[in-house]
Amino acid sequence: MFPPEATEIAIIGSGTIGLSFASLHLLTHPLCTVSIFDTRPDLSSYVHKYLPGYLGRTADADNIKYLDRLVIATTLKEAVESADIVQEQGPEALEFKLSIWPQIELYAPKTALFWSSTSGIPASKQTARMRDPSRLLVVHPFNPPHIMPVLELVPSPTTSQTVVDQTMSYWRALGRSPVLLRKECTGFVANRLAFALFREACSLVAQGVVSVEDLDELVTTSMGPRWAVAGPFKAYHAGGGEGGLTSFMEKIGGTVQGCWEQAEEDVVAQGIVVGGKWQAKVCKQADEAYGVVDTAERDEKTKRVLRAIGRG
Amino acid sequence: MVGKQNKIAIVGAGTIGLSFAALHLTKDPACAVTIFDTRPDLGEYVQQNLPGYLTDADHESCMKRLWFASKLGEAVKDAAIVQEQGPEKLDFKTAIWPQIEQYAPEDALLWSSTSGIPASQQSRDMKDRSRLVVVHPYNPPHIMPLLEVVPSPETSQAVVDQTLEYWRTLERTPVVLKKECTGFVANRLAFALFREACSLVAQGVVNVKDLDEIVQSSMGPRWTVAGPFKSYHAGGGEGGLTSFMEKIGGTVQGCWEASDEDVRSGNISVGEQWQAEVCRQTDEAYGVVDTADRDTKTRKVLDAVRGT
Repeated sequence: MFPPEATEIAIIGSGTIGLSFASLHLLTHPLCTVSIFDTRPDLSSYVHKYLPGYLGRTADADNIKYLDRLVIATTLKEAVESADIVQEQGPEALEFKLSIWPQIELYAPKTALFWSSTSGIPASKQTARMRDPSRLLVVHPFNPPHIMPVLELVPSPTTSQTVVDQTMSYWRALGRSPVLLRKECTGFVANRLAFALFREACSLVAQGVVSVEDLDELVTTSMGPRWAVAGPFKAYHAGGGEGGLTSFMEKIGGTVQGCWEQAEEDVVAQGIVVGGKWQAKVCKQADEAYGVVDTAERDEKTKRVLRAIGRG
Repeated sequence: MVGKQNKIAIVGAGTIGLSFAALHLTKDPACAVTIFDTRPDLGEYVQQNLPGYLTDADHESCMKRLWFASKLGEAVKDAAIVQEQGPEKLDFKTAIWPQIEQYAPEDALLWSSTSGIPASQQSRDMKDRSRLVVVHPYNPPHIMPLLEVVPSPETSQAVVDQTLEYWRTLERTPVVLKKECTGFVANRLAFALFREACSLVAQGVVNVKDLDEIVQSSMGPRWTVAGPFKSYHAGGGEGGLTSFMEKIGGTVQGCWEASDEDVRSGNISVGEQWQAEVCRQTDEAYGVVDTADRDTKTRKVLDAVRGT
């Protein structure tokens, strides 16, 4: 099942995450085949049009090598009936998840791994109608997974250890960075952290301390590079010198607490909730600053940075 | 300004002072740096510690342009720039600036590296309050390009412009804040993420090492290439950030609310019960961090994003 053996992967849902995962498997696991299923009527032409962009190729000759291992499934059953791994990225709606897993369970082999790419609906909710809830694991990517190596593995309380272990092995063999969360929680970890920073960013822009563009420049020349090399705990631990994080908290703790308190006050004073008055102004600044972002350039730079830290 | 021999006075020879001294000496081959500090073994101490900050540089050329002063007046009398990184105490700052003002040339730029005491407070007893501006680095400034330039309401535009020009010539990234605020911007953002990190570890969702790994393999690289606004704007596709907030806004709000609840129930304030366990996990995970290795990798990352 696992690299370097042949693996069949069923991709349920052909949106950007599905295509990104499909290309990731095709690019990094030379012996895999990928079946894609989606209810859209033009699935085949749609996949053939957009998948090459994720594969990083425009020429046809190279693509054939990958497209040879790609099957467009016309039914869910066809997609999963011989799959080793079934990876779901359909609508983020509980009813959809509740209804699809029992169907997948019906048609897929007994040993197939079941993964959901959801960013918000935990496995413990998705499994409610399954015969064997121990089979399901959330495998949440950081967008887009064919570029960003991290995968948040979020088991439900009933997910089996075997499923977790096999999932870890698969991703590690492909050189990705799977991280196991020990508990389900709202938003998991990556989004919780990123959105926490984002809220503070919105608050500071809303107050007029800094513009959207300047804040972004500030982050890319400080926290970004710092955290690519050492995450926040390691970074502050180093900042504490010989006494580590304990020492850092002793010396800088007052400053940290002052910032935490001010942050809370400002978020309330500025009304930083989604849909609040601040939002239109901030979105307008972003539009004016950035227009349409060249994601190809961004992906190239990201790959270079990942190579520099040994994760590319 | 850069080009003729700039004289820079560094007041305070701690890690920030040494890092800045190294930065000026390596990036501006025409400058001379004078260091002042009250420690009795200043010369010996700097000779021993500065080389560690002079990686890739011509040590000999740098050390030749380095001077020591035993008195403040001596340090600043010919300076084009006076850069202060003394104790983070209001009394110290309000006392030192009038003295510097007395001895330094009239057109010297006056910069404080403070992370928390705004220029509007530091300049209280100065004759000309328009001269002072905060230039706050991201530690260590000889590696990290960012400088937060935080003028007081009195700081003159000319001082801000000259400050920006100096740093841009040295290929650093100065960012001007339009208002003074607690913690400025970089620390506010980093500490916001740090609080959430402490909260999630305290709850047992993830351990310290795994959380760091998540950040290193996602947000770190992502935000090296594009900051949070640009990243979410791109995430919204053609409709940009507006579209992102429409589609993902519900998720974002849910996370913000869960965060608030968790911080409250976990009592995530400095010095509270959660702290010891988080520090213990961190000690266990990392021991003593090899900062030379960290700095080398950081340089690689900065080169990679610039394509150099």
